[in-house]
Amino acid sequence: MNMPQNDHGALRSPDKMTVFQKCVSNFNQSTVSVDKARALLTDLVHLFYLGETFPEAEATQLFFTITKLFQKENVGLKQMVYLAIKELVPLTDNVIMGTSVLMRDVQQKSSTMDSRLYKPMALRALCSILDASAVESMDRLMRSSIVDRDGFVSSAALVSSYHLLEISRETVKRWSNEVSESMKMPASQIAQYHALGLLYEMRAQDNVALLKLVVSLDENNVLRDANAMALHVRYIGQLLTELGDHPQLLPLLKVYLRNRSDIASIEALKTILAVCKNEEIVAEAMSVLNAYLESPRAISRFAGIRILNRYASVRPDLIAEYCNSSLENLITDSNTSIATYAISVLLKTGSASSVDRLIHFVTKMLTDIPEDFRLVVVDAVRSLAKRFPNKHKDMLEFFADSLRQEGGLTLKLAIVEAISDVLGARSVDTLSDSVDQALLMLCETIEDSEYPEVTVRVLHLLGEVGPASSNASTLVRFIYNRVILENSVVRAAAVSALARFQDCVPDVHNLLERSCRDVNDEVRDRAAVALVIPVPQISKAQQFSIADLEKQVQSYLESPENFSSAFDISKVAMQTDEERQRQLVPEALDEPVPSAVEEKVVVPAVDKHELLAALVEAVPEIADLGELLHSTAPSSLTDDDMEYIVSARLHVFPQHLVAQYDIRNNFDLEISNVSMETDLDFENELVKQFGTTIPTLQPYSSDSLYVAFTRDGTPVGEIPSTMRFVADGSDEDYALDDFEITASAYVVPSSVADFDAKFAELDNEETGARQFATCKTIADSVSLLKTRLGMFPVSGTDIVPEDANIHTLKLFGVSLEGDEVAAVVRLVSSSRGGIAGKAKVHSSNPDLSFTVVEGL
Amino acid sequence: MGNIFSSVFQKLWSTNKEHRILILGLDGAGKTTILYRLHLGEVISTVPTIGFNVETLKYQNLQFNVWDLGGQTTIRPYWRCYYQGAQAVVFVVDSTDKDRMEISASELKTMLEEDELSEAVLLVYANKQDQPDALGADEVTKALKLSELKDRSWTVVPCSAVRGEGLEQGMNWLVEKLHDDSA
Repeated sequence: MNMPQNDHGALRSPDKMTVFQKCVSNFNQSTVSVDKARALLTDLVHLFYLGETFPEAEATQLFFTITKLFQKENVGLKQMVYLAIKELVPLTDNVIMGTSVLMRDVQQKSSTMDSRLYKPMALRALCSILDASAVESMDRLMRSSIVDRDGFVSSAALVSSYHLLEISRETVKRWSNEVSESMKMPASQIAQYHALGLLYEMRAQDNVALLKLVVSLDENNVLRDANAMALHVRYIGQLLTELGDHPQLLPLLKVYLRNRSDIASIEALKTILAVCKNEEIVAEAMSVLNAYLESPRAISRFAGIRILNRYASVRPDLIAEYCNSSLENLITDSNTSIATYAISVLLKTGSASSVDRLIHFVTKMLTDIPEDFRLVVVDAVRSLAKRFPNKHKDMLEFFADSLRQEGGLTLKLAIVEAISDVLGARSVDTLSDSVDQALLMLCETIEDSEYPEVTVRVLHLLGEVGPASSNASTLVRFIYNRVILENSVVRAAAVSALARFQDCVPDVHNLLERSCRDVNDEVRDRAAVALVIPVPQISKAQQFSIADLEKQVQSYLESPENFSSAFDISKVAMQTDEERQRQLVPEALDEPVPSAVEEKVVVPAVDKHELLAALVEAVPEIADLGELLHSTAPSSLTDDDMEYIVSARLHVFPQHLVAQYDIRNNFDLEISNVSMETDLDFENELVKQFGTTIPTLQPYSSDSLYVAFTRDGTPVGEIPSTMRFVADGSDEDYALDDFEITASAYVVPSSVADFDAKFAELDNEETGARQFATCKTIADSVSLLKTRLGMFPVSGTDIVPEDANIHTLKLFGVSLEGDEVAAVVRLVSSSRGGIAGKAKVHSSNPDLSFTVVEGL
Repeated sequence: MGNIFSSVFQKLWSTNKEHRILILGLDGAGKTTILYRLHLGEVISTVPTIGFNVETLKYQNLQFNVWDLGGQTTIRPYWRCYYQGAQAVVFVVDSTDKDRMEISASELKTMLEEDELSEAVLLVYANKQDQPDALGADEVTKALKLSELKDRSWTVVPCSAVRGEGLEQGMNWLVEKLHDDSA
């Protein structure tokens, strides 16, 4: 209970247990004073804000004692009660007990000033404690609050609804009329912003509805609030990214460019430069941007130049065309932030002729500007260095200068990276004085660097470039100083750097030997390894292909016989820098997506033939059934620890199905005459034709038996299976789990280029719903669905965000007859546990839609 | 009605003491209706109480903190969280709900066994007397096995919350008993 005492009451951090105990003992007394209770709650909430938390039992106790304070009608106290309850929500399941009393507070008549104050607060607290079923019962209250004439109430209701979307999307969506109304006639300016955000979120995942909403806002100048307008612009931008330069959207943006509100217009500028490909609009945006650059208000100039800086590297042509003259003026702007950005833009867009002048200018001003901006400038010079390799001398000098100045870690690292860029870009044979100077300067830096991270990075750089330098031995001296003076991390880096000098400076050998006696094992290891294995001198241009290296090492490690000889690295394929770069660049986005037919994921043909051959060998009758169309993955019909372990899979033939039962005898007794009794309930869709038997099955051995059926159409359902056999002279029955035929027997996973278009194109809709009681998470239900339906999850919809409680899975497949089928499955994790799924299936064949829905 | 009360109370007390009263009973018995009939003097439309309602009933020299706790099965376990410091329990039964009288009786019994309520007086409102098939006070007494209670002041008052009949009588009894206890 040692409470840190200090004179500033507000800053003292209260003791958690003391606060807990005081709350529990005081709040239970009806005599507790409002002021005291409020002070205690303030301490409690303060603790929560510091990140403290309570175990569930204590949190529950706290919650119930806090509810006792609802008998006090005091606005200040209520405010704290609401805050405390909101903090307790994640800690205890019992917060739902606050529902009625909070509803009462929300429904108070807003006549008094007090109730006007606490109504919105109560509403926010109320919405934070609701679960999905309770949201439903709030329907009327929420609808009326959303359109409340009081701006605070309306905003609270809108923002709370936004959060409730996560809990019960369907219910919240029903309030869309009220939300629209409050957007059109907002109770306060900001309420309009909230209403727009909510409306958009309600329609998320439906681009058509979003487009309709976004376009409709243009009519009658619905939006008055600047924040709402800026938000509108962002939404336009999002839709443009998804839909391309949509003809209805571009004019909207154009209008916003000239909006009287700066935020809206700047947002429009940003959006246009980021997403628009239409040159006419971009040109107009640039002229608006230029007006910002020439504005007498510093804040407008700053906003303009910041945007320009962001897009300078992407569209240098535009800047040269529209803004060059204003930029020249801005370099000398009295506001250094603006001037810095202007420099940065010029550096990014500058031509060869102006580089010298710019570098000179930058060097002069660098000392005067704050560190954040220095970082901006360094980055700009770095990108300039990439474009003008023949100006490296000046640039190195510039970096050397900036490295000498005081600066934080991020800045120093950025400078070292830039130097590394410049030095690395040069081929080794054109080393010049300037490189030597740069290396010495780097040595100087590590002599008194305050950041080990920077030192380590520089040491690595010296090791890479240094050995080729004319004064390598000088560099070694500097590096070895680090070994003597620094901590182990730096020592290790220094040793690695020294190792690179072994060929050009023979004495390094001695130095490394000394490091073998270092107190730190990493340093010792590195030194020892360096002495035994000389660093391979691989030119920068040629490097090992990482993929091939991995493959070779893996195969080397696979069999111990290989270990008698050393791994032969010369066998590993080499690749040039260029090739490597190409591999690193992710596949270009605009690569045409292969059509469905090409990408069909079918069991490779050769496997299918082999499989058929194997089947015919086991059961000659199968040869008469024709071509093997498809085989499902085995599913197990027993638990793994039973006496007999059985799994089954299905082979699909044009008119037949063959069930293959793989049986393992896990019992200490030989069984004989094993057959499978299948009790069908399929009418004429599935008729048993023949079944094979296993004459004897030794203990701990496995064998397969087959049952063939004639099929009519695509039957789905269960095949109740019972294993019959003779053990110890008596007949035995052994019941298995039902063997389920799902859609996966007839559908092959397949990918499709534009799922939504395909889904719309296919008709024959069937819908179905199902509870996945056995699934704990949405991800479980997704993988279950994938295997049951035998369809391919399109555009990564099988990846479920960890915290999602709503997910949409899109599946596509092609039937054995070549009919396409697409399914959209909405999965909701219900608050009662378990996953509920609703599927909409479209297919070119109505029977197929039905089969897939049945297969759910 | 408030006026009648205040005149009664005025005679009995001249202190500022607050009294904590719990209104309990099965769901749909009419607890919330009774609370607001007493508080506002009118019948309000209610929804099933999820959690509780609390109102301070003020009279000239006297304050009642009246806690109306939800009667749904899921909420009954939480009643105990509010027992501490309660001087009276107003137990409300729906006199027409003969099928659940037994459940009422057992909930009442469990509740009264709690130490924290050992001193509390018990007022049972046999509510919904406006309905034709309502049980009378005697029948309710029998159904709830009230005669088995020992060491406790209790009474059964037939009432109709929607008509406002009988509530006053019950409150009068309560006032008297609480006065006896504090005297």
